Amino acid sequence: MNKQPDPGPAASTTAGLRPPIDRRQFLQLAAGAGATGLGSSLLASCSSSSTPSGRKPLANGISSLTPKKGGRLVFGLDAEVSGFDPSVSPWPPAGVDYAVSLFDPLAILMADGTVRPYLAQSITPNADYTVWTITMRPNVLFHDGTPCDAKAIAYNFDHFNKSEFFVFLTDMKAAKVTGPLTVDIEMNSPWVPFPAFLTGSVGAQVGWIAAPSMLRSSNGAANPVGTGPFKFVEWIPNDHMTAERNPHYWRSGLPYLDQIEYRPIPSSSSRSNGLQAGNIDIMIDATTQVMVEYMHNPGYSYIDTLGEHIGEPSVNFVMLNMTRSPFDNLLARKALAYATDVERYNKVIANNVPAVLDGPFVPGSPYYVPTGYPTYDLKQASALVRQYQSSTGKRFEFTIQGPAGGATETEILSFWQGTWQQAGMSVNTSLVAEAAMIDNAINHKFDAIDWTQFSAPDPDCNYAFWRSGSLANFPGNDDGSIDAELVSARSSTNLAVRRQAYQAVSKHLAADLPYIWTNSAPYAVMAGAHTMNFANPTSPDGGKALGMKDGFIWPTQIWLND
Amino acid sequence: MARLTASVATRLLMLVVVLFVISISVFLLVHLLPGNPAYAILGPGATPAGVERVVHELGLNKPLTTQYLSWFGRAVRGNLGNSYLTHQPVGATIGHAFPVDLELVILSQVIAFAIAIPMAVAAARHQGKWIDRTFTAGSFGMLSMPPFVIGVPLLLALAVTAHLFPATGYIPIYKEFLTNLHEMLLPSITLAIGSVAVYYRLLRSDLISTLQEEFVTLARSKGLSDRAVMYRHALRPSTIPLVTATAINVGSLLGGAVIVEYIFDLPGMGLLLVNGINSRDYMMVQGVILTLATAFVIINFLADILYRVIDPRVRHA
Repeated sequence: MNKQPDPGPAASTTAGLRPPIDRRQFLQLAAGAGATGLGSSLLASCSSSSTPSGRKPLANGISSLTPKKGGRLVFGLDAEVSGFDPSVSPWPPAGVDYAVSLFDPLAILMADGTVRPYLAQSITPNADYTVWTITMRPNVLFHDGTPCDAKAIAYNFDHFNKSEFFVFLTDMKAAKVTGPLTVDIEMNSPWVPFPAFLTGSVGAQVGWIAAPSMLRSSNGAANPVGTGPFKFVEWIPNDHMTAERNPHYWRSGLPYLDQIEYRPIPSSSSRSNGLQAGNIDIMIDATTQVMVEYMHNPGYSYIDTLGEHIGEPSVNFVMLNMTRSPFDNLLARKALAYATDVERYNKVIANNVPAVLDGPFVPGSPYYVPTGYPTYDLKQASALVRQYQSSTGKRFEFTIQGPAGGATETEILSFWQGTWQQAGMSVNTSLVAEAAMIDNAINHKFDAIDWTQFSAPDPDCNYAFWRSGSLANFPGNDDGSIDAELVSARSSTNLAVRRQAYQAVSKHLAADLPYIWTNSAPYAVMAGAHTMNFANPTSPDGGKALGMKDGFIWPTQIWLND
Repeated sequence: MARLTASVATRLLMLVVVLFVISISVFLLVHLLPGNPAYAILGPGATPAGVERVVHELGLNKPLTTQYLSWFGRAVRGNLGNSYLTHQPVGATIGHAFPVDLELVILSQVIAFAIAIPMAVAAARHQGKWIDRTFTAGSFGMLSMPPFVIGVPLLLALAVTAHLFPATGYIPIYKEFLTNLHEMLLPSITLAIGSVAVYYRLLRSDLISTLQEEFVTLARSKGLSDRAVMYRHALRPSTIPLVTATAINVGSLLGGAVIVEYIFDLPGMGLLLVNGINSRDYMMVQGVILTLATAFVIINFLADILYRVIDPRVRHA
């Protein structure tokens, strides 16, 4: 499906290469602005936009042309990070975009869903998968010139495991240096899909390897030092992060770009305006309105995660607190599930772009199975509400929280309020700041929360979120059957067994109902036609890696066709 | 001169008191926000031990008075602390963001005066005629248009469609002067429109009233031209209310600047404030509000002084 790109005529300067303007140009632009006239321009703005460069865009972000070296790429992100230390700062997808330019992950997620070594030369288990041996490549240096050897890797694991901040490595016992380039990661119990945690995807931050000097520095989180294709130059939070080509990068001939500048632009429309005005070269987006605008626009290159079945996608759902009334009662949770019209929700809120869900996996995934999850039935919901009220003597009343600042959050909460009240529930809505919402989730200070989660290179990365008693099991679901299936999936090398285990988890979740599933949460990347090869990463051995996982793409093989 | 000095000293003292009261209000307001910043810092993987450690590190377990005195003591020495989230000095972060808003407000006011003063002079000279009626009707239109109504079409037409201006991005003025002006022109025009209407209406009515004063009649009787009367005798006293209006306007302009920043993706104080509130970054929110409040108070203080300098009646009262 790759449209062959056409080099076309010489492009106008790209956003990243926009030179300073002189006095004459400034006056010409000012005069031009007046001459253009607001009215005519407004009319023009109503027509479909076109790419400034005039080149043919890439249908799938893959170019077969010979890459050109040089240039500066400006990348519009949808969020800012709090820092660059992988063991301290929880990263949104935008944070992983930063990370992949500055650091390298030990492993890479391939297009077929398998995991291969990346910064590591090999990652091998012992017979029972209780020890994983990581062997590093020789002569790889961090940007500060220090060696990326076994000691550095062990230091990273120790730093991560002692950080108190992450509950994902609870089964890891110790990291032991066994040679100049080899380190053993010892586990408490067999951990077969452990390499998935080393891919650096969202939720797998332990995979990013930072220089010990950075991790030891009190200001290291703001001054990243990795082995990545680009070296850190400057970070002005909420404005930009700039990195320049690492001339000593261990992957010969890469990267192609001289410089990359990431700009966090929280507003989707501002990012889109920037792309269309030629001020940014490429952007990520998670709003279906913007996706619809670009997916059929021939002027721009576009890829998205719709239809991607690797690991687990990011999904939207309403999370219920099973530790307090009313959702400590299965009747109440069932009533809410029956009262939830996800088809209409998907149409009204998400333009029918993502898939409607009945479990944590999307149809098409090897882990997907029809779960018997309740489908919309208002009569049944109303009957269950009456049954709940008569059996408990309480009014069916609750509050749904949503993140303040979300582009469509008010609309979403209003939609749910209107929908559920039809079943006889009394629903309050509350927009809550992100920090307060995480606090509420961890400490079970909520009835229901509009939530997005579970993006993972392997479902095992969600072990901590589903296991009974885990701090990250926000709904407080206590189900020994799920725990057994999670352990079975973690300790089995047999894909059929793992598949069966996660299918069973899905069915148990459909019965327990800690989550009211709505739809998948797709990500898209759109780029100007001069931005080449942005979804075509390869592993060091030349294999085809996954182009994009939930808004995170590799800048290593991007080049500009100017 | 002694009177002026005493007046300035009194106002400086009041300024200090006002800033002290503002600092307490800001501190209390920020700490009333629900939610623990430790959770924003640690994310969904936060453990109780981690939360406790972060709370301890940030000093959030100490009494509010201790926290306030510690913060205020540092703030008066110019140290606004470090951001809870990015661990960057708040002062340095504001140092990047505040010039964006300052430039936006100054440029917008220059544009507003450049448009409003000639409009008001023309309208006053031709009171009741078509030019006066047209400008007055136009000013009503401008007053009724908030920045987002003006900014979005300007952006779509001149940046996204015509590519005459950038839609996003900001380069500091000291790095590339003309590029900076190019980037700031559309946002400044957007912010200026409301001010044009206010200044036009204020100046027009004051000019009409001044033109009926006896000293103007005297000037006319000396045979001075209408133009000379207007520019030499009527305009200066009529601009005095503009000084007050501008100073008061700065508060709302800073508020409007937040929306303009959002539309044009400028890395100013508005974005810092919104991000700070959402992530419970108390240090950042306190620093931003204190800076904005200080700027507002100082501008009003300077306006008071300027008022005395340019208006002899106030100076000698």
